[in-house]
Amino acid sequence: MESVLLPTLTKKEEIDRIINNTIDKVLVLRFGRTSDENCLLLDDILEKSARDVSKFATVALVDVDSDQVQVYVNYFDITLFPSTVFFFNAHHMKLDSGTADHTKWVGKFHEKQDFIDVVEVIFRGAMKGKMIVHCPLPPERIPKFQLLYKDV
Amino acid sequence: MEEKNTKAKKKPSKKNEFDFCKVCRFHHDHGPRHKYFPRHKELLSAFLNRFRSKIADVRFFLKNPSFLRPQEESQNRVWCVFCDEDIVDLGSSFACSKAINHFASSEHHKNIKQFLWKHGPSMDCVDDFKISDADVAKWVRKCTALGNKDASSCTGQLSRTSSDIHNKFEFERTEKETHFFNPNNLNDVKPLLYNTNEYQISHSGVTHYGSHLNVDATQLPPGVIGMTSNSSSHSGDSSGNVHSGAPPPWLTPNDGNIFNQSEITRVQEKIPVKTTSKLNPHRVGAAWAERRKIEMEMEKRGEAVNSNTDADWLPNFGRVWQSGTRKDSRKEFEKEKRKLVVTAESISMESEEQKLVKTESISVESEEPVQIQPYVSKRALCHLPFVILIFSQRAMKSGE
Repeated sequence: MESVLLPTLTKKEEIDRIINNTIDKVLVLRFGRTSDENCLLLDDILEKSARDVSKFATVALVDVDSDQVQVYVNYFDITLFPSTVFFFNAHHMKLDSGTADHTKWVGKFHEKQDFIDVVEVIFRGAMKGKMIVHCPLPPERIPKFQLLYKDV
Repeated sequence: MEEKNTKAKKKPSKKNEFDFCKVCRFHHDHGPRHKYFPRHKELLSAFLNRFRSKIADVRFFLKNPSFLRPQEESQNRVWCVFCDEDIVDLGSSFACSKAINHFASSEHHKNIKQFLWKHGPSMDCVDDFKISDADVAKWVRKCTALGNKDASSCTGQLSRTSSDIHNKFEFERTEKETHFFNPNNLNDVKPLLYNTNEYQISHSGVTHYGSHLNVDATQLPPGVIGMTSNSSSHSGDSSGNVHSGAPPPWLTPNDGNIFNQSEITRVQEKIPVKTTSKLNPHRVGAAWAERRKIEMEMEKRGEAVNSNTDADWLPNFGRVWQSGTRKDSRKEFEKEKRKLVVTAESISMESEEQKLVKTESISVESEEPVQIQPYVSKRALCHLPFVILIFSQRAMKSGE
């Protein structure tokens, strides 16, 4: 099920192109699969807020079941789905949300405004030259997960 | 004492009412501290520079007073940003006279001070926007001198021009079939020629005012004489005039054009060049973004660009289980990838070898095995059954 607004990427070239063509805007890449319930909930929020953040952010969905995308799944150490990775000018933006993994956002957002707040904080930090920003959301709205190193 | 301290600590921030900033052109509730904001300071300097250029134009006429024609009165206007009023030179005989008087007035001075107190952090540029009384006195003296000269010379000249017009009219009527020269029209034609002289001689940056000015009295006589003398030569000249549809002198590649080019370059220097973006140069990936924008522009123009996006390109990413810089994490990932590739290759090689061996055995079997008959000597013949057994065992081993 492809969103009318959000592009779904299935190839590495497509991901490379969108990273290279997004200039001075936050790039939000959602890694997930459409068969997952949490992914669908997250996609719903992303679709609804894409227009609101369109002036300073671009949102795209990446299908992890595609073979050509596995390079990025491995490179970004994505083990849990859905995972959202943020970029700004082809540089990865880290988000300290109090969880073990600062490199991405794992899980869904509670509501639209949470996503907009996170993207805004990332944009503001990036414009000031910060590569890691602090998440503005309260801990109860941040999904909890356990990170396992090589299934240990 | 403790209560006072707590009260002092708990003093809430003053809520300011919304106020409109004339410089930034928006409403804000920052209160008096708004004038110290960097954006406001930038806009204020641009705002004041614009008004300074207008005052510079008026100062030109302060130093070089000139007559104001009634037709150009309505076009001679200045908006004073400090007093919020339009100054139009209606009913004045000299150019910018009302503007000069306004900028010298005490009310204008008061308004400048009020404006700078409200909007500007510093009061040291007050003198840039006002005209001193001494300058005004000099200007008045110049104007009176001008007026006296003009009173004596203008009337004679006008009569001369009228007579010349009549002469010219008759001359051209008798000589050729030319346009009807109404004396009033000719008067209108006259300023055009003078205005070009004005541009050539004054070398000023005047844009709006200069084009609609009347001629300087000192230049009238030569101009008039020139006109009368040229009237006969004009018909023979190839340059022509407005009525013949010839291009104006300031557009021909002569002195006038050179001046215009210099004026154009001066004006262009005033206009801020908007090539540099206003984004923070210290933002994340700023250098990359600038390079990428240039590449995209080149691509739009159709020029070939060396694309850096190979199949192995990876963005700048800090991995989860790697410590160190992001370059290190990328190198780690590439190492892992190479190992994977190598192991994959080795596995594939082995599998290929195995496949090859299998295929050989299969091919041997499928070709209806040629019975290998080794050389068996006569002596071996007696041992033949034993030899056949050995060979069969060997064949079985190779087949596995």
